[in-house]
Amino acid sequence: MTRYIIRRLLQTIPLLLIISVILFVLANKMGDPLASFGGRRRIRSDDRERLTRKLGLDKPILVQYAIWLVGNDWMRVDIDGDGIPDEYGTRKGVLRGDFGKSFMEKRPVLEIIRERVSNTLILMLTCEVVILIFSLLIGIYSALRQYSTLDYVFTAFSFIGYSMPIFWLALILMYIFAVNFKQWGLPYFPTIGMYDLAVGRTVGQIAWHMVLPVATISIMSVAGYSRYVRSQMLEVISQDYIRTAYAKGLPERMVIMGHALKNAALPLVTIVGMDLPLLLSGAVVTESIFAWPGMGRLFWSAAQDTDIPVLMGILVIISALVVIFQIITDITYTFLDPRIRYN
Amino acid sequence: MSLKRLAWTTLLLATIASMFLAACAPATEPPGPPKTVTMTFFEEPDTFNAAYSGMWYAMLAYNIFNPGLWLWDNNLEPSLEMAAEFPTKENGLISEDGLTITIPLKEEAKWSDGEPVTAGDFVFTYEMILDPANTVQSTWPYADYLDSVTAQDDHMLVIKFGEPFAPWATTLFTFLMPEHVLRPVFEAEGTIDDAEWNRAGDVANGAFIVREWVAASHIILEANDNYWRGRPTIDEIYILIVPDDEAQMAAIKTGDTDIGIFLSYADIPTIEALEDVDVITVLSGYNESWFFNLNTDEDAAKNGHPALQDVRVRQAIAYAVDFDAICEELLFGGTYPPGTMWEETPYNYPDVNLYAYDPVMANSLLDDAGWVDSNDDGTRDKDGVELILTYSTTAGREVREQTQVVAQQYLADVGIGIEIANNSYDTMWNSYGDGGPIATGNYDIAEWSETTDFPDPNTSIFLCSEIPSDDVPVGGNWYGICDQEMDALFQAQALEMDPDKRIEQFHDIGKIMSDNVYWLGVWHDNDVWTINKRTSNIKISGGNPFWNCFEWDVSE
Repeated sequence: MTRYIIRRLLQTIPLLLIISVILFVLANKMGDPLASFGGRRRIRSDDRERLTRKLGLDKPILVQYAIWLVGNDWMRVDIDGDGIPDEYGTRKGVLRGDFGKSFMEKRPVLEIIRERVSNTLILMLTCEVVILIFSLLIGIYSALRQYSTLDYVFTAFSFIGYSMPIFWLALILMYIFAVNFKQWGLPYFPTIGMYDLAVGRTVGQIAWHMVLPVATISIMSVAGYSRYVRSQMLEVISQDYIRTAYAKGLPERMVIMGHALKNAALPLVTIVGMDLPLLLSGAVVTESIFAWPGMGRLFWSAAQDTDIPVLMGILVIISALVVIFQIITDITYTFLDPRIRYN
Repeated sequence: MSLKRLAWTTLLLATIASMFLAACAPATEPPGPPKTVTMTFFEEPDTFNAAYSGMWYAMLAYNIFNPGLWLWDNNLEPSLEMAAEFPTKENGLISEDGLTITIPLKEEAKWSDGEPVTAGDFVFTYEMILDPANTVQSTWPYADYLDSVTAQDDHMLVIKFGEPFAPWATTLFTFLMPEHVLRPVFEAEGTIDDAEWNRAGDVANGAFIVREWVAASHIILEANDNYWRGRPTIDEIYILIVPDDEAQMAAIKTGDTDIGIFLSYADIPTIEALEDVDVITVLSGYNESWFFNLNTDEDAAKNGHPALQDVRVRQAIAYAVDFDAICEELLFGGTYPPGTMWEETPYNYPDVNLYAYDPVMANSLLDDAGWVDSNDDGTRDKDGVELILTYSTTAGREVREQTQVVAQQYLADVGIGIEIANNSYDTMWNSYGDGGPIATGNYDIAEWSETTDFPDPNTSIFLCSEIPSDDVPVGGNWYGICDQEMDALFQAQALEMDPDKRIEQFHDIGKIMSDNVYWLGVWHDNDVWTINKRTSNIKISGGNPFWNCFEWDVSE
């Protein structure tokens, strides 16, 4: 197993390099990083020329990638635009932990990402917990009580929930539970932000502000996940070993939780394993609508502004996590199913 | 450990971790009962050092805590901040040749840390803008027009120009850097690119100081006790970063924000129905515009449709589209088509031809120009060339796309075909050198909202020298317009220091532009704001919206 893990980890190095090259080229083709610099006005021609040079965008894309990867503190750069290299650059490159500075915010990418990660984790971990609990409860119930009234109700709501565009669901929840509730004189949920600035950042405030965004994300996911659990459970509970377990006289709760769910959970583990690294990327639409200062919004604004260093920072970190979590998921299988062995 | 226990433990740990993360984050000290005004920004300022930003929302923020010589009030008159007097030739502060401007500074003006604001701060700001080690957003007009900025004494600033520069009042020293804070940084690091002050805003010369900036969430500003006018009436300003129009609208409805910014005309009827909220439109200098590709380059790919070279065709287009109806139907009557780019200002040519909707006149002009439907396909043609125009704007802006469809129908009625080819906003304005679709001439009609150096009328986008080419890859005259008479007027107005003469020059420019239909106004694009009625004394200006934040008040 140890050799397997080491081999998989070594394989990630060329894989991530290839991913980073592709991402870098795509990010550079997304648009003009200087297009947003003028604000509501167009950037002036002289300034465009100067900033293009200062940001290193005048160099061939492969040179830009090399600087992004290994830095430019080993080469002289032209500061004043006279064509003569003046002094050594300051970039260390991603391989030495320097993801560069945001074109827009003019500060280190990792600092920007670090500020947003905790906000996103607060939101997304809570969502993941809510999603798992409700998916399991609904999925198991629907499977055990197949074709019951509640199963039909859950099925109907699953399809509705899964079909709804998330922005629409977010706005509907916001208008019903914030705008309309206020108009009706009821206690209403906040529309935007993580907490009331007049009260401060307390656990209670964050929990209160999190209700609508969590509900938005969870409804969509519960709708999908509960269907997975239901179908897996249906398949498992018709297996011989489940009948054997019942025949042995085990209580239903133990049969379901101890035997059926354990086997039915494998596909869910795969999905959750893929979800976990993506938790860090946040929820673009939900974070934007509810003004939640997380990674999703950061990614969206960086994409809009073609802020290449920030985009690359987010994408490379997410890519690395996806690869690593895939390895972790594969290893988890061996614990859930003793028949699985890696050589 | 059993699977069940493992699962429950994981869930429990995840919940605890999420609560722990929430609790561990930096806490905000709960304030008492301060007087607070809350507003929503669609975009987050990129920095608090104005030299590093061209962003409109950043300007809104730094006007509050970091004003320069003066701000422009709601009548677009200068409201003096660090300057003690506004220079004119009459008061002798502008030299006869217009090349030297002397500006006395307020002796009582201080930074929030108690240090006096001096002419040295202005000189330092000038030096930092010009220093190539600093990645400032723009060196214009400092690098282009100024010979020197010097301190005659601590409170007397002297600016010398190489040639007269008419837009000086709206473009110079709209902000200020604290020398006592930033010079040590510059001396230590060789640049102020990474100075903490750029994001802290905690040493301020305006009515408020930045107390807290939580990225993508909010900015809290608190009253500056050292402000030269004295402590402002309210105690705090909350700026919430809300990157979604619908969310801002919900916040306006629930009262979560007092000031709503940059709303669309389509929102006006909804807002007007709200009891607690006033809606106002503010002159901002912007006009939704049509530009025609009039390039006559050797490279035919850069040129527009040949029909557009004929002024009668351009006039026919102007007559063929009912822009009043577009404003009435698509913008709910909230605005109207402007006559010139200087609508609602003294520079607007008063006798401009508004090209009121007249399809008969449009047909007549097209017939006269020789564009007739000779092959009965419904579209006019001439010498085998069909009169089909490519119409571009930014993709995704609903009202623009609706305008395209409506205009397409109007133009079809007079036999002009329209092909819509839109671009994403981040590529639309790419330079010629970067292959920008408009800059390289891949359009016949292009639409976006354009302004000048508002409130100054100056603009360089119609200068012959700005027509982009391989030699001028960053030129801004993407329309290829080179009218010698208009060009001379544009150049002359930029040097004219007599305000009355300048108005006359712009009237002449307006007449040429209108007669030749070099530019066509689709709608006058004033900014739409909402103000909650619990606030008072908020007088939004199109120049510097929050110029009077020192006297805002709220009632609970």
